[in-house]
Amino acid sequence: MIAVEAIGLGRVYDAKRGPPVRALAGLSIRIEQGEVHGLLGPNGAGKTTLIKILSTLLLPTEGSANVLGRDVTRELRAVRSSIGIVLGGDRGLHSQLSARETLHYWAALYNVAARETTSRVESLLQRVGLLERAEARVETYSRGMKQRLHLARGLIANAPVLFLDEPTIGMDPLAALDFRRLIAELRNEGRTILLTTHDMAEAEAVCDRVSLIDHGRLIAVETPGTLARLLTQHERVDFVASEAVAARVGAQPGVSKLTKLGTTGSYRVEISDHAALSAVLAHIVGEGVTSVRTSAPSLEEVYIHLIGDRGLRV
Amino acid sequence: MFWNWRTWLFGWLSRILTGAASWVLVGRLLGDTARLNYLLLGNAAVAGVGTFAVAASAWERWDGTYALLVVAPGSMAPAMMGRMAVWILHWIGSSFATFVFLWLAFSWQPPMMGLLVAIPGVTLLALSTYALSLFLGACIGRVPALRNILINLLTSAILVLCGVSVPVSFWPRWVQVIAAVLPTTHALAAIRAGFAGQPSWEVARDMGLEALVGFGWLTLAALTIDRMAEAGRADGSIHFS
Amino acid sequence: MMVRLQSFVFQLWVIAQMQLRLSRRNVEDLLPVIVMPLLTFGSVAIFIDAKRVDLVGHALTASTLLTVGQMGFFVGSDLVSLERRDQLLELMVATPTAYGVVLAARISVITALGLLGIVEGWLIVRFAFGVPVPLPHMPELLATLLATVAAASGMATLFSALFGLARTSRTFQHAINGPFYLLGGVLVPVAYLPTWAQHLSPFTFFYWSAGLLRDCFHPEAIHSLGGRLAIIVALGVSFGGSGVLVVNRMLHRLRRDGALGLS
Repeated sequence: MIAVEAIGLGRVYDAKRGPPVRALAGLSIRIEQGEVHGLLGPNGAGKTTLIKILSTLLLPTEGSANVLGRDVTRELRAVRSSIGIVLGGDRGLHSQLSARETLHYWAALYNVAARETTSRVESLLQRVGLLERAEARVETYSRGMKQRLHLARGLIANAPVLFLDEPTIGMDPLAALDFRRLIAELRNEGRTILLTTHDMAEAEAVCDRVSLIDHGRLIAVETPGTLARLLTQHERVDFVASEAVAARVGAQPGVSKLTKLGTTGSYRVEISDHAALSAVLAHIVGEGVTSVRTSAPSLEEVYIHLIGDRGLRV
Repeated sequence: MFWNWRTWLFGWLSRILTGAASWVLVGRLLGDTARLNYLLLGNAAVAGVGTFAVAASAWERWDGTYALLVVAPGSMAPAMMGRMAVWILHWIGSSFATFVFLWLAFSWQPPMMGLLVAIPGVTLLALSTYALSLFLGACIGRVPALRNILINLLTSAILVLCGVSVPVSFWPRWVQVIAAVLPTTHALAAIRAGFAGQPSWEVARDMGLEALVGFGWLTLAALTIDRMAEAGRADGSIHFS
Repeated sequence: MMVRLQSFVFQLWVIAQMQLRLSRRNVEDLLPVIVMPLLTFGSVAIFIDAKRVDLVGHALTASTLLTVGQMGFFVGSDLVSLERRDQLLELMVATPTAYGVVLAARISVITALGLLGIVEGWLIVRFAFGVPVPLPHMPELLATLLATVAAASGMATLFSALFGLARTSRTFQHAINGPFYLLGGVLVPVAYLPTWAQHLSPFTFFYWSAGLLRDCFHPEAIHSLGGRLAIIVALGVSFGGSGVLVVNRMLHRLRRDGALGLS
């Protein structure tokens, strides 16, 4: 069953000076119930614009969208009752309230019944690891703690659909790892999650499917593994050897491509014929190479390949 | 935050002029022309009080430039003083605009000599309150949240104690001593002396006293700004952002 | 129906508690309460120096109304623009609770804190100047104060929508209060205003509140108390109702223009 759907969604912003800016252009997407769906794209691609439209904070200029069958432009209350939003960053919290006070407040705004509020708040604080610091003011929290409070706030209504806009931004690696575990738990509870992120490892680890967006258009929608195969259908073997050894490996039957990786004597061969893989591996080991592994293209490689390497340019 | 002509005219100045109108009404309520003139002159002169300068160090901290100023060679004082100095023109302009408004809207007829004295008087008053405000702002630099309260408290103190609404002699002796070292008191006395046609030496004496008060606060401000930076290095209150 | 009402009341209670905490913990929110009553020093000094101790009630009235008014217009109406800056507005709009209701409730709490102004003002007059101010009409005084808070909250809700959501310069926002105080005769009764201005005065709740408060400080019986209170409350309800409508309109416009957040 479809949890989130956008049909030909478009959004144009009028600029005070210059031509209008098109943030989304005819974007259509479907997210199944219980799916964790990642939105990847460079800054300004339209990811946040899409999230804002789906969460009723922004009106589209073209097309339509619905959440659990409810139109995001007309059935505001119904949509808002069924979504939770998690933002990244330092903002979005009352710094002078404690975590517990914050969650009580948002529970009231989400019409959580009085008799359920306390138990739900305590359970969420426990779940995100803030129980011990629940009485401290948010202004004393680290970035990671604030992020966890954002998540708890997004879950306070027990909403079936969650929108997470760069939720791990600024988190240290351990906290980000913890966060992925939490996402997995939420998926197991049957929630639908739409997640924007720049973290490829995160998207590969938690997302069932990933949409690549650039300049407001959808470029690809696939599972992370399938996206990798878009880049190459071939098996890849990475190894460390001298130039001469690499050249001999590259000349083996079944090897379609030899690439030098960086400047540290690392090489990669792509093998077009799967049947030749064992022979190539045996040859590499026979050359005395001890550092060897097979690999598939990473999501980052796919991203760069499809979006384009634009460096620091927007 | 800075004014454009619209916000200055319709935002700031209209607020000042509403205040002036309220003093006109008080004068009418009391039915005393002399008191009305007293109130109008006092409030027009202090429309130029520079208490806003209390926010100087707070702004530097919020802009993230405070730490950079600390590590730069040389004193921080010129940078912080300079940043706020541009507002002096705004304060002087507010006062003069109020004089013009009272003349046009309420047919207030000030003597020419009085207006001639008002020009340097208001300028001196703006400078000396700017100096005290800088000093106080440096003192509360580590608690920027107090800046608006301090600005308002200082403004209230000047309006109440420095001869703006009632003569300084109205207050108990100990309050008069405080008023004597507050900016505005002597400059306003000089302006009032000029308007009343008092001898020039009286005007000059009061202007001199105001200059002395202002210079004293400016010196304290310059010393305090750098001292607070040193204290910040000791207690870790200087942040990058 | 009862369940929904209970739920609504509980919601308002939580919102009010939260705002009280925020205001207590943020000294800037209490600026008018700290500063406005100090104006009592100036106005009482003028009246005493002019040998018009009988006008001290005017000074206390002004102190009260300015504090309540500034809490509503200065602090309360800034709520929206501050929360927009802190990315809280978007999150609140995304909840199923009507933002206008949340705003009105929070502004009411903030405005009610302005009642501390009358306490401070009375203490200043009594102990700093040694002038006794008897309070012969306590119940009427309390009723007037509550009605005034309601009216100020309603007006502040409208202002917050107009200024906070319309992104109008803060300087305009602060400038517009002064004329309301003048027209309302908070310090000087409106009889001293030009005739053309006096016609506008009854449209401000300050006019009715100031008149009632001054009457409360005098021993004579207060005339038309019920009618005057009703007018204050009616003005408050109409401003507040307009405020909530304007909030909804403004939010719709901001959603359309993509300007709900500042990012």
